Amino acid sequence: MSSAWKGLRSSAAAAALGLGLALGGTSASAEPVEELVLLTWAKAQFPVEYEAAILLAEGWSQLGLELDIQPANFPNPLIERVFVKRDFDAALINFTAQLQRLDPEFYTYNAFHSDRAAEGGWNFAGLTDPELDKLLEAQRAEYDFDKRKAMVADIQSQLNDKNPWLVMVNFDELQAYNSDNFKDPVLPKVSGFRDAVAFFTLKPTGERKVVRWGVPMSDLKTINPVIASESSQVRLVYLIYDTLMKIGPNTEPQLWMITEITPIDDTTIEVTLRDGLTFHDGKPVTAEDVAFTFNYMKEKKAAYYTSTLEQLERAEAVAPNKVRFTLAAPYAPFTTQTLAMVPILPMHVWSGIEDPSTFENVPAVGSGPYQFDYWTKGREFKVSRFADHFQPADNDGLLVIFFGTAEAAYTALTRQDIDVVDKVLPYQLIELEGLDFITPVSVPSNGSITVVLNLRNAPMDDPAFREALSLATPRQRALMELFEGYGTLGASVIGPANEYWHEPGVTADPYDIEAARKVLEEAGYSWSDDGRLQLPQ
Amino acid sequence: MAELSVGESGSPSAKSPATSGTWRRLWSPFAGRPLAIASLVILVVFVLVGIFAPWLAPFDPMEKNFGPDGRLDRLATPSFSHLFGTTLYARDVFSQIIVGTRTALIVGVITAVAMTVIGLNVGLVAGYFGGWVDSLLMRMTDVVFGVPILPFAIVALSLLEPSTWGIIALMSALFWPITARVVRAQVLSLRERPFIDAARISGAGHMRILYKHIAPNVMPQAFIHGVFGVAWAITTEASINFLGFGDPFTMSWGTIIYDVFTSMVSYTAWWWFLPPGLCIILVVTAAYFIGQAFEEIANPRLKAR
Amino acid sequence: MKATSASSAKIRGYFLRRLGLSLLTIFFLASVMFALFRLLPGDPTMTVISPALSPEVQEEVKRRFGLDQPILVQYGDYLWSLVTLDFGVSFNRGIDVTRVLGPALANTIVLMLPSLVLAYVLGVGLGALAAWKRNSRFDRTLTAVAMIFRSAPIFWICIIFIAFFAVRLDLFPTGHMRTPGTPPSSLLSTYFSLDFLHHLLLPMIVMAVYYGCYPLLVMRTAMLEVLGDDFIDLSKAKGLSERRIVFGHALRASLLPIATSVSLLGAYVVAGSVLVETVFSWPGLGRLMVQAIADSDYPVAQASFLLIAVLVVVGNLVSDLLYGLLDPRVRYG
Repeated sequence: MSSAWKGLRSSAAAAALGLGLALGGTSASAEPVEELVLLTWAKAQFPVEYEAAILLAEGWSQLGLELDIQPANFPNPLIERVFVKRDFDAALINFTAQLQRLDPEFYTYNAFHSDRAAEGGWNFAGLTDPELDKLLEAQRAEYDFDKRKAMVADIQSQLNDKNPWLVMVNFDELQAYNSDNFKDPVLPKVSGFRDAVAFFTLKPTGERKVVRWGVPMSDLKTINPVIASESSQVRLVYLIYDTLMKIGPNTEPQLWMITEITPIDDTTIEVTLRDGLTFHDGKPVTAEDVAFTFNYMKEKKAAYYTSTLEQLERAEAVAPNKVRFTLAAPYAPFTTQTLAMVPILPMHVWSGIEDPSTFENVPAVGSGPYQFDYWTKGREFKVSRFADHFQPADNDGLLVIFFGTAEAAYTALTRQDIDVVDKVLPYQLIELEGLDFITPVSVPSNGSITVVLNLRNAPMDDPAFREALSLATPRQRALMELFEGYGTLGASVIGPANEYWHEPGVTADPYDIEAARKVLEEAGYSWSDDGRLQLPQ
Repeated sequence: MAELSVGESGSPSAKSPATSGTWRRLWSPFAGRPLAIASLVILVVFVLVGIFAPWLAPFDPMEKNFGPDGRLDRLATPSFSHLFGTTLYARDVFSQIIVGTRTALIVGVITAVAMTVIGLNVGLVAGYFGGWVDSLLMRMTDVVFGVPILPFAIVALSLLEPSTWGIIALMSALFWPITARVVRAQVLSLRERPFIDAARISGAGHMRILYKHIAPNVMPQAFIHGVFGVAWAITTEASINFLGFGDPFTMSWGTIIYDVFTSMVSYTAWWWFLPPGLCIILVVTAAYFIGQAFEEIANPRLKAR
Repeated sequence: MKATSASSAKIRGYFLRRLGLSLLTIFFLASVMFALFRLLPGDPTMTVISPALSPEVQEEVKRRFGLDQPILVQYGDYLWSLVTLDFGVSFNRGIDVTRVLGPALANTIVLMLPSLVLAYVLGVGLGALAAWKRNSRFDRTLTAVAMIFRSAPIFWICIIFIAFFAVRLDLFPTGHMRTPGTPPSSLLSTYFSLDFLHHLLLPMIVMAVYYGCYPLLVMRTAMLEVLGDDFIDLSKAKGLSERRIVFGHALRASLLPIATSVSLLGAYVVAGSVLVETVFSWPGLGRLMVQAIADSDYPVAQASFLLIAVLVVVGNLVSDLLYGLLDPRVRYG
């Protein structure tokens, strides 16, 4: 019975991996490349990532590699394996589309500086390159856009040669809304309905004034911005809380709560607040509130904002409407990223909160275009139009409905029970195109499915090996089979949707097993009689 | 279901150890019962398909199928080449069902055997020795009997590595109390029987009396609950997989339903959704009918009049 | 039958023993949970905090959840916190676990209780009818349908009902407890609204039909057994009409297995809530548990499991006690 069982598993697995190889039989002295651990997401959470892993294994096994696909649950143990223990040889990561990740900081310094390779850092690959480090440091200290852009382009080319990440696909965000009920939303490039502004600008066409948005989550975890740690929660924070800057629909940074940014010197920046800003409870937004927010977030180590606030020394109110930020070192992303990320908190609510981790923050008081209405746990979350905002919403409010499953949310959209779904699958989008009351949305995003190689482990530390892996990565099949062609082949770590910063000279490697084998051969790798890849001697 | 009727079963046959006519005795539950015979046929087919699954499946269950345009032939309705259509990633549903049959067979049979072995021994020892041994074992049985199986299984599996062996082990560890209770009840009355006294007087040891003289007489009841165990195991395994706590690399009827559900087409892709459920119903119903047929032989009072 | 003082003392002893056993089961489960959650791969605090945080902050979090103590101290604290119903703070939500559990428990009960009642009304009625018309086509069809139904996985049946009655015929909503956009109100006014009833109906019908198979088959078997018993024949000899016999003696005698099965089935239904609530997006205990596990919110997962376990154990206890009370043959041994 046990051998029959084994037969089942290995035959299914072998077929899945496209391994046409017999096992056993070692060649003279060369050592085979050990089985590689390919970490991916649990099927329940990201079926696409899971399928991508199977596809990837199919390609890589053509090189004579053996792969152990390990789907892991997010957040535990996935976060620990990726961020702390670095327990993988290759990991499939889904980088979600986010406006806050448009500044090159996230995909360059944050992901590849040797600083960030330590436990807990975002340099999953563990790339440590002193030359590159210098360039990474220089770009974040460069306030001149053109000069910085040249540096960032150079970084992208270098990363393309080093292959620490193999971007598989830059996918489009696929979404849909009911255009019988609402029209003309401003859909920001790279994110669409993943950004709050798309909701603010949905214009009612008739009786229905409150937008109903169906999400597959079964509940919001928290509306407390200081402890929110995932983008899915933070998105709802931005419905209620405003930021000093905003990334505009064409990915350009805009002044939002402020009217002016005055650089005093490389490490001192002063901002001037708009007149007439008020919190939802009627109290005015002052420079004190802004300074308090930044200091508080920094002091309490707010999970989502830790890295963006790293360079901030302190914030102080220098006039009723002027705030001065002092940085530890020159930091270009401060205005384009940090100021666009940190939600402004009312000091009169938060100054008494010693331990924010046990603060529920209901009702949440912010100063954004929507104000908190109610939250019935496990069912729905409602915000309504805040009329006193300087750019009030075009509708009466937004109702977030927690469906628990994506299928239920999708079905509700087709039954006209809800107005917006912000994530639909490629084949569903094709289906939705047949419904006249639905407007399908596909926006090229700055999200991607990326294979992160762990350079701490051999043979991933060998650039030739990584190049061969890149050539054996079936990007075209991934784009067609996983995304029905909605996206672009992955190349640079900064995808083409991020037009300003993307380096067009970096193009996707073709899927070319022969070329990959040649690269390996030239680097001294060999194959055993049964086709298994062996390390150079 | 059988949990609910445990209290009523358990009047052991007065006959001394089985000696002859085994085949006739085995056939007797089926004689003149078309439902039981049909169930037997279903189970035999199920076992055969399970054994020969790799040769019967027309496709590799994980292989993607492409249409003439070079695109994935996804969510295709049933056709001659794909009897049950294809999945979201264009895999052949029919082949998945066939390979899933083997998983169901393995899960059902191994769990049933394991729970019977544990339950039988606990029941035998508790009933035969009585006293504190009985109290201890039966309190243990009661405690395990009170464990809510499905919630416990998903918590445990989420914390350990998800694997089909883990599911089998968990179910075996939780199913045995039913067998133990039934067996004990029978042993209690059996040990007072004259033929046991006779064995004792002739100098037989405890082990010999337990396993040579008593065990054969309680085997039918243990067997019946083993057959029910096959049914519970298949349903429970499917439930665990449906909630996403199973081994994603094992192809089983539960994982197929789970795949449809997570692919968000369970309300529309009937060709993908219906077959695994119907297979579960067929096998589980067959197991219940056969278990019941045997039960009626062992306990004639249950026979429908 | 005859209640002498000696037997009432015996009954009291029996009750106490059963109660003790239930407590033992809960203690056992709680301990297994403790062991499992300490064994789990990975650091549970990883999910509470961003891994990008400094080691001091991680230590702080561990201290807050008591994870820096020696294991035995943790175990003692854990057991004590269960006694005092203090399940700690949710990893994800930053609020007391009890505040998360309360509404979920209420939602589960308002779904399970009516379903169970309906299941028994249907099951007992049809079961008695089937036994009455034993071996008729009605009896055979009904029994076969019931047998097939109870063999099907409940979640599969639920999805078929949704696909047909909600998606195809559009008679019911596909899930949830209220129409989205209903402002919050007190629990009572939530539960006593037409809208709620509309949402309750489909899951309730599915569960009543599905779980109704159990009382149906139990009732039928019990009735058949009673119908064949000698005392029925005796009553017949006394000249009563057959109908009276059936609804007099037989029904009363069949009450025992039915009554004892109620709480047992109830326990089973609660354990199955993880499946039904997942399919129907019903914000109850079962879905909460499944979600908390997926989100690695261990305090919530642990507490919701224990709550389900307590409900199940109480169901079993009540069933045992009823059995002891109603069946004169039980010797309280």
